[in-house]
Amino acid sequence: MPERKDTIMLFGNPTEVSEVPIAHSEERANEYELEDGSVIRFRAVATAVLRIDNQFDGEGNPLYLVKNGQVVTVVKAPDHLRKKKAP
Amino acid sequence: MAEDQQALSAPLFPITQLAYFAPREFDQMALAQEELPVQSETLSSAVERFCTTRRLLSWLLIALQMVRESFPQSSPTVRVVKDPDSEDEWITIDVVATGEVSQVIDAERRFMRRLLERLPESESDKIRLAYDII
Repeated sequence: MPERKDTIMLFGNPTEVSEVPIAHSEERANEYELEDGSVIRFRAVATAVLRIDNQFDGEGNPLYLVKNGQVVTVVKAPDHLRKKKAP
Repeated sequence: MAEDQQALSAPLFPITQLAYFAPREFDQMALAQEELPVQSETLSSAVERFCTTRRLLSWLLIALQMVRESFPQSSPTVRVVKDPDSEDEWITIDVVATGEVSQVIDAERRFMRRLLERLPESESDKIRLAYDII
């Protein structure tokens, strides 16, 4: 897929960016055991990567921003916290 | 801006390079993260497993965002559907839509058009929409 030009608002200013397609991803999960007995899994998922046009870090690398979402999955929950089934 | 209603995270700098940033420059990049809210989804284990094994999670999040924009009053839910005949599997996003039938159909068409513009062709049949109109 080709890069896509866009303009986003950053710090109140219109900023030109290029959306760079993700060629490959490894999305690993973090798992947390909670004190209430549940176990939840958490993933941060990039939905788009934006390269800020003509902006560079101190070493000359391009600057990137990542649009992301998060996914939460309940792996395990104790019975007393689960929704009661109708009799 | 509707498509940008997701979080902007810190830039992809190797951790070893952080020290080279002027504090002001790095603070400004961190501030970018706060400009948009984070999209948060709770998925069942079955949906999560289906999406991670097929690398569909990011496409599903994008699709859910589009569903909320196309059907603002709905609370979409997600399930894995398996065709018992072909053993083909896909994700179905269910929404309960309100309004006139023609408006709902228009919203569905807009959603599908936007989704197909973003999704790779190979994944386009893996995420589907089902709706009820009330």
